[in-house]
Amino acid sequence: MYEAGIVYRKPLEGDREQLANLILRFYRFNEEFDPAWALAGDADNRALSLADRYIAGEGYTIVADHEGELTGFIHAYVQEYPLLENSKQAVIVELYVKPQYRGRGIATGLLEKLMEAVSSDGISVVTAMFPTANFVAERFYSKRKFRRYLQIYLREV
Amino acid sequence: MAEKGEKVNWYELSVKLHRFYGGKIETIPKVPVRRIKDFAIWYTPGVAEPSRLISKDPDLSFELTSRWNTIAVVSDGTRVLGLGNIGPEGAYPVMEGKALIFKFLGGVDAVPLVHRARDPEKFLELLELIEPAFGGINLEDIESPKCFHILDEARKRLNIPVWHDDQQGTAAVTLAGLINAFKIVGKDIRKSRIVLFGAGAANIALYRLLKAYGVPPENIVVLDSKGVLHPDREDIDKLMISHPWKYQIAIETKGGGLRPGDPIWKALEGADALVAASRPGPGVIKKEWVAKMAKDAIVFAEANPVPEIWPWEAKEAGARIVATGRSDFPNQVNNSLVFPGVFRGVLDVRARTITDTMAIAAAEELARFAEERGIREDYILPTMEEWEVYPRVAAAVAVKAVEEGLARKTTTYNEELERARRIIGLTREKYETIWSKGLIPKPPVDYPENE
Repeated sequence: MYEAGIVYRKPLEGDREQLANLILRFYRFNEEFDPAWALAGDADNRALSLADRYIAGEGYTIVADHEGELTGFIHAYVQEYPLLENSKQAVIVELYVKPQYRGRGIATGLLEKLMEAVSSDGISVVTAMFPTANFVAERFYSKRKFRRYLQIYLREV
Repeated sequence: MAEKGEKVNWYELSVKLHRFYGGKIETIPKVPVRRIKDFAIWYTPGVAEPSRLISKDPDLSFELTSRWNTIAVVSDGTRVLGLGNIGPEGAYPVMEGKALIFKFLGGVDAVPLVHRARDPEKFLELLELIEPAFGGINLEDIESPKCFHILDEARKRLNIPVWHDDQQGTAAVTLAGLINAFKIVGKDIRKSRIVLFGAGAANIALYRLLKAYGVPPENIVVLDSKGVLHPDREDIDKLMISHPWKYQIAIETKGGGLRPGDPIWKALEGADALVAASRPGPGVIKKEWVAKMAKDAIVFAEANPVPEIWPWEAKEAGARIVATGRSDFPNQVNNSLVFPGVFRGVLDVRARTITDTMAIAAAEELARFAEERGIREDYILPTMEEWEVYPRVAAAVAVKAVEEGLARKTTTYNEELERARRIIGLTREKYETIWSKGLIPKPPVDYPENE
């Protein structure tokens, strides 16, 4: 089911540049779908500091490692709803697989590893956020039993 | 705007004669009308019976009407010649010219059909709506990447052959030229490195044909205006959305082992063949780049009216075989060698579609035709005056359609060759008769015959 030779793991110190590159690619891709996703001028640098934070353990991050090459990653943060029965949700905000590795189950692998990790921490709900027009993400999550759940409206002020 | 050194102003002459003749084609009856009473056969009341029969079995329309030999030349006028988006009316003279060539070289009745459906879905809907009137559709001069979507979808939705000449026609004649060029230099095309410069309709279709012909994708490098199509290119994910055809090439070729952002000369280093189908030259392809190619390099510079590099420059830089889109240089890569025969063939067997393998069959037949006459560095493709080429292509394509189970009628190579010769021959004979009787007035202005 998954591509042979792919190791799913947490990001390490040595992954900094590669992880930053994947983060940047993810945002560049989504820039296509909504003007509110326009990249900052120094997005490269910001991607590096985001990579540092993920490596330091912020939220949940899993990378797909193919013989030292990072082929994809997933990142989620934890959203708390103190009054709800499911008081903690893992919110997937970033998921990216390099084009030449697509269609081999790596994104599915990343998603499943993430669900295992959050579930072992007692989180029972996973959500995913992406631009409304991103039909690629919509197709991906719908196929994997995610359902429409929240509406997010945006207005510039 | 005559080109430098050219004595005839083709543009001026063309306008004068288009005006004089009021366009280029008309419909002429092909059945006996000896007296008014004959209309009782061809029209009411008699015609009701063919209508009733067809209504019960629509495929009978290919037997009882002119549908079997009639195609539409369809364009929205969004990318006409090198003129760009000049609108449907602007595209009409080009489509009418195509129809003239269809009739003259292929014996095919073609109707120019220009329209205002700019939206691809509307365009496709139009094709579906008009399908009952035609035995085939020739798409023409549609902007990229819309043209890929329209062709792919139309091939799925329609039950008659759909062909986009700027894609398959150009790709098929280019493949034919490459097959013979590789034969001359004694290299195996399937083990060679081929660089496609320009990622428009022609080269994207050529990539697909090369792949189907057995060239491994990793041996091919495709460049667009931003450089090598490469899976690590910065805009790769955008291409996935905006141009899935380029995206697929980037993934399959893996950028031909180059790095993203590598310059064109790097891609040409050691390459065996270059096919440029980009923008008019000269100077688009530099001599220094061609000089980096492998020994006995093959260079096709197909832009019109001026090739990306002049043939003599390519030769000086070490190219052994050079082809262009022009008739005044050797080795003209000309769609007109392909489309009349392809449609003659598919119409004669009432084919349901034209596959890539049928396009390859056309290319191989063209190559074989030239080879039988003796290929040389300056003769890798037949010329348009070699009349036998059109029935030959028709026969090859018709047989392939039958083989693939996509024809409503069966035939053999020799049978189709004979039929195509007869139909094309009869067309020309009728035309010669009308012309020699003076029923088509002599042109009031003309060009010198030795031009």
